Amino acid sequence: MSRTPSTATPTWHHFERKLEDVKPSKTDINYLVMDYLVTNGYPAAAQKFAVEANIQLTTDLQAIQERVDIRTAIHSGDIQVAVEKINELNPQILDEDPSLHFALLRLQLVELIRVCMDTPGSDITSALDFATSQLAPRAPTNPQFLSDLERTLALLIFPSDKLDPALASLLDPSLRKEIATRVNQAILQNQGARKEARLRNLVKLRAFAEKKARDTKKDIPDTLDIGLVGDSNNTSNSNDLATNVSDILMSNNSDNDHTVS
Amino acid sequence: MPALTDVRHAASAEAQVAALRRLKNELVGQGKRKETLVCDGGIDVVVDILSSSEDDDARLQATLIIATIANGGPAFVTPLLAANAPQVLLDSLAHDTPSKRVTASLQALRNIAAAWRASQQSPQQEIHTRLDLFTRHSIEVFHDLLRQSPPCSARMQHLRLITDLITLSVISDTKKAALSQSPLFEILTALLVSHTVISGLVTWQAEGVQLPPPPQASSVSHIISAICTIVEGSAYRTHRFFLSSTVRALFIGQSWNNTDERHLFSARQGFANTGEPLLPVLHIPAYGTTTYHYGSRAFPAMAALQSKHAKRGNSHYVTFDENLAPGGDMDHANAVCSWLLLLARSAAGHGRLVALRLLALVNNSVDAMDSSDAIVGGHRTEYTQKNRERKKQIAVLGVPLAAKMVQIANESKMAEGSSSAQHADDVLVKEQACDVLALLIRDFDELQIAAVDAGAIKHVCPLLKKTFDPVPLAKPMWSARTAGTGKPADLPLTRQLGSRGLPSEILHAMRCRQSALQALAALAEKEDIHRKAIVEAGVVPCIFDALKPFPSDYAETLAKNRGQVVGPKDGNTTAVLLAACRAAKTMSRSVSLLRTSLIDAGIAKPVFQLLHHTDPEVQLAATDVCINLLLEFSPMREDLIAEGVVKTLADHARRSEPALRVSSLWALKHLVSSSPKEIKVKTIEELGTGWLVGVIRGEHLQQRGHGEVAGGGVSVAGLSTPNAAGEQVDLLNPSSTGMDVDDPDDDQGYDEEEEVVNDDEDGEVMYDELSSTHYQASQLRSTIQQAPSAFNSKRYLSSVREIEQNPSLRARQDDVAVQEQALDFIRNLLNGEDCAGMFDYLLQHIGSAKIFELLTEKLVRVIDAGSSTSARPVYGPSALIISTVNILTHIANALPRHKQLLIAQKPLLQAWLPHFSHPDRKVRVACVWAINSLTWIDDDSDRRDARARAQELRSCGIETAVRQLIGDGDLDVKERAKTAVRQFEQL
Repeated sequence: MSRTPSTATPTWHHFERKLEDVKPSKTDINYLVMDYLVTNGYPAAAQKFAVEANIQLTTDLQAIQERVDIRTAIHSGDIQVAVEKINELNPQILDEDPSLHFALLRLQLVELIRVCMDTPGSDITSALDFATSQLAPRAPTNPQFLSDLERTLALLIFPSDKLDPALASLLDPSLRKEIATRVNQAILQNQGARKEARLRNLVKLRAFAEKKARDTKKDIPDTLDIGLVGDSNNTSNSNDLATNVSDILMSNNSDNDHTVS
Repeated sequence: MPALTDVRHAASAEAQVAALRRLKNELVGQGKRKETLVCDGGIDVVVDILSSSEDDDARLQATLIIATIANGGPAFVTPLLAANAPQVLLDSLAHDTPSKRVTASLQALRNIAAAWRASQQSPQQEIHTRLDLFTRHSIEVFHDLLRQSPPCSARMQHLRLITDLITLSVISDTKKAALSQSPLFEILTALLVSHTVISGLVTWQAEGVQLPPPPQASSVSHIISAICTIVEGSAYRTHRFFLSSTVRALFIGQSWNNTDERHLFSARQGFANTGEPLLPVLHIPAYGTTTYHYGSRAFPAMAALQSKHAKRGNSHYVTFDENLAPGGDMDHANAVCSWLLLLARSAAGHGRLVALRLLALVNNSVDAMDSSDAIVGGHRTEYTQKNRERKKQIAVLGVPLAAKMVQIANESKMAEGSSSAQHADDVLVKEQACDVLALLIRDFDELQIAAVDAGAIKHVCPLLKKTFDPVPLAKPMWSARTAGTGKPADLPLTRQLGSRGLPSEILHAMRCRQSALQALAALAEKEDIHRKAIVEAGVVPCIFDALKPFPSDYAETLAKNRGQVVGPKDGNTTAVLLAACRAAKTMSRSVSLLRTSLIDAGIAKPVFQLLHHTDPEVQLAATDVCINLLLEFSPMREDLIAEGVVKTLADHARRSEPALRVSSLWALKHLVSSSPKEIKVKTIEELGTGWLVGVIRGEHLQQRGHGEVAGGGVSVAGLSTPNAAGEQVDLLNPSSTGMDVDDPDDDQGYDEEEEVVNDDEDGEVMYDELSSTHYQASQLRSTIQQAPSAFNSKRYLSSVREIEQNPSLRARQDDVAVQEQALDFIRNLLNGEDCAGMFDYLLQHIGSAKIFELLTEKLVRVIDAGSSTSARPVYGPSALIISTVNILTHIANALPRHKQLLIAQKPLLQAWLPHFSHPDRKVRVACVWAINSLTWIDDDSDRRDARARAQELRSCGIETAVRQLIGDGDLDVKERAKTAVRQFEQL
């Protein structure tokens, strides 16, 4: 990180020097990484990292694996299996959080509809039956549920290539990801763990601090990159830094995981 | 349900497990299906599998099913308890149970406890069933679970579930006492200490003491919450918490090199043991310039009559002996409070609230044992100073934090998008913030002012108003079939749903309302300005609305109309009624409000109706309000009398609960003050003169079997009295009150304090010796100043327990309070224009001999000087002596013939004489006032008699005693004595 300091703003120098002075301990960083691997569910990577960094794993890998299995099921659209696995873990998770339960069931409905639409001329009765038995009873308990259900059923009416963006988003795989994340957080919270990795909090904190510093016109460099490859491309608006970076982190790592496991 | 049929008729173990799993998946999140399952007899099937199946998987699935059924709410409590599900679950927690099933069982128990807790708030009495999860055996099982914990996530989950079980299901005092003596309590305390050490707040230096591995950060609030549940309601249990070996070691460990470093934790040093102060350092002037006012600002003239050390609202009950509680270890108590403040500041949301709650409990319990007025000489200043530092710290750092939590509770919108855990936390903050604030500031005017400065009234009042907003109930799940409601009554209980109780939305509003009313009651306790501000915030109508109970069939009515908006003024739970009564009581302490806003709000009528409520606690709370509403200048007195309050209160006074008896007599005492003669006569007729005499003599005490403890034929049992040297001398004679008094705790078998009793090392005072000599007592007192090692926490604990729990001590405290009210009742009866007429009435109905015998009894010494047990004479409590002497004053103010009657009572005069040199100035003033009345010349015809009276007083030595009081240190006494001497000389 060598930067030629501008003579006009000697405070940069100051900032850089302060930065140099901070020597985060290697152990702390290792623990941060380990925390990330455990929280976001990468058991194989965690095991290898534990050996490499000489850290004692306090969480049992079995518990991580259970979360990974559930996530994999959701990612691959196998919602029924995911729900059953969650209930196997602890029925409390869905009993206590009707909106998460509803979100999962709706996702299951989306998947059923997707199957119907992908096979032309197929019967939509199974999707309708599922909607009647699982989703309809819950719909009146919450106005949000009702509108969600209506929108989802609209998928049956419109042809899948001419959907308006709001409806199309239901078929987007990102919905699976979003719900998988919520499920992961709910399980972690049920087990009394932090629902997000510490690393995420740190990135958020950094973005917050930078925004505060810029708002109060503190003398800091115009761009502060976080040290990731490809980072400098999209830091033109530094306020979005945190979200961008964390998403990169997320996607990078989830790619890795597939290769690892 | 097909899955249930499959479970019943499964061909193999595997098939059964598969069917159970399917059943579970069908039930989760489906309230309607859970109901169907119960009606189909599913609970019996599942519980049966759990108790008898050999297959571990089947038992796990069965446990999970019970857990999810219990999530259905209060309606499922009855069938689950009928099927004995809690006990079966507890039994399944054996050593070899797989961890997964342990988690599931604890979760199921927790869910049952949560549903049960919600059902307890129901206005219907019939579903108030007992839930007993903490037996001696189960406590051991839970303890084992926590003790063998390697720090893995499953164990941490066990910890959270067990602590939740305590918080949710432990209500009764006996259960709390049993838990506080158990190793489970010790391990919870140790876990909290362990958390503190791992967070780097304190360096652990006590090498001998082993700490458990620290809990997860998210478990800390659960642990504190459980500790609060156990200690709440008893100063002794709270002392057990903060004097436990691990908490002691947390701070005492700092003094390895034999210097006491604990002052570093104090308010002045700001918890600076690790270098930097972790709390803001407070500069508290050494000897305060703050002046405290005592008593009511509405009656500044009465300030002189209020005790300067009146404490905790019930000073007149507290006449116990300071030797029993020699102040405690103030450095330690202050360090503990700083520590809890630190925990509160480092937590957020509900976690912060529970830490503040524990802080309040510790501070209150230290204060309850604070006998600063008894500690004399040089020790006192330092002791008081430390006490003040702690309160100042709480005023500056604790109360604003609590007020901020109230603000958060008031402003929170309960965002829809937040996760369910966040939502649950918000709900708890909303329900408990006001309650914690109330607990923190109750009884401390200084803290009440700090709370108002922090904007408490501004945030509490809107919060209270909001609880009267219409509540939209969540709509039920839609079902294609309409539910078959006609359930046949002949089904076994395990197949019948119980009452749904109140919907959770209403329960939430009720808890918020109760908590806000508690805060109002605490804020309005001392300051008239606060009361006015509360009135200006427009919440008096809310107090009125909160005094109305739910109709008993309310839950049923609601169940029929689910999905409707519930009216805000339908009624209130018992907890709300109690809180509303407390708020009404403190608000009515203001004379001007009593005559304006409170009469406008019409609170007399609902309060009168609550006097007849079925719950004795509500009756007591309503009686307490009546005490203020029946005051002479209260415009509500007439209305209440017209409603028949005299009869109700007299009935209550004759009941056996001491607190209700005291309050009822108190209210009647106010009622007869300056009342017309008819009312006075009616009241005394209602009570019955014979009963009244019995009460004053303390006869019922003997009837209840405590009298014999007093021993030696002493019928008038006072507790202790300051003797001539100003020392408190204990009355309990040693033979009657050792620690061998039957103690409920001992039955629990966890008591390790017994050894303390028989342990008489280094000649320090044992409890049962305290009563005899005050020299030993002084020794004990002086240990406060010595090195901390001299403080024997076990011994101190046992004396705290004696004060709180010794049954004969308590019975006597209760009795003194009752006697005081009864004597004051007579005093007020005689007060006013009808004095002579009323005294004649008493003479006629009780008889002159009996009246004077009674009064003499109150004045004579209870133990003779030189007797085997005491080196000096011991008299009854000064409160009783004051009341008695005041009656003498009134008799002396009646007609001349009454004066003559009084002066003829030689034994009475003899008994009276020593009190002219009583250490309590209030007694001396009262005595001189009576003499002033006795020596007063009514008219010329009385002059000769007056002279004779003076002669009599001279001959029995009273005149000399009065003359000596001219040199009295107290100005009031001195001036009255001058008048008396002048009157003597004019004769």
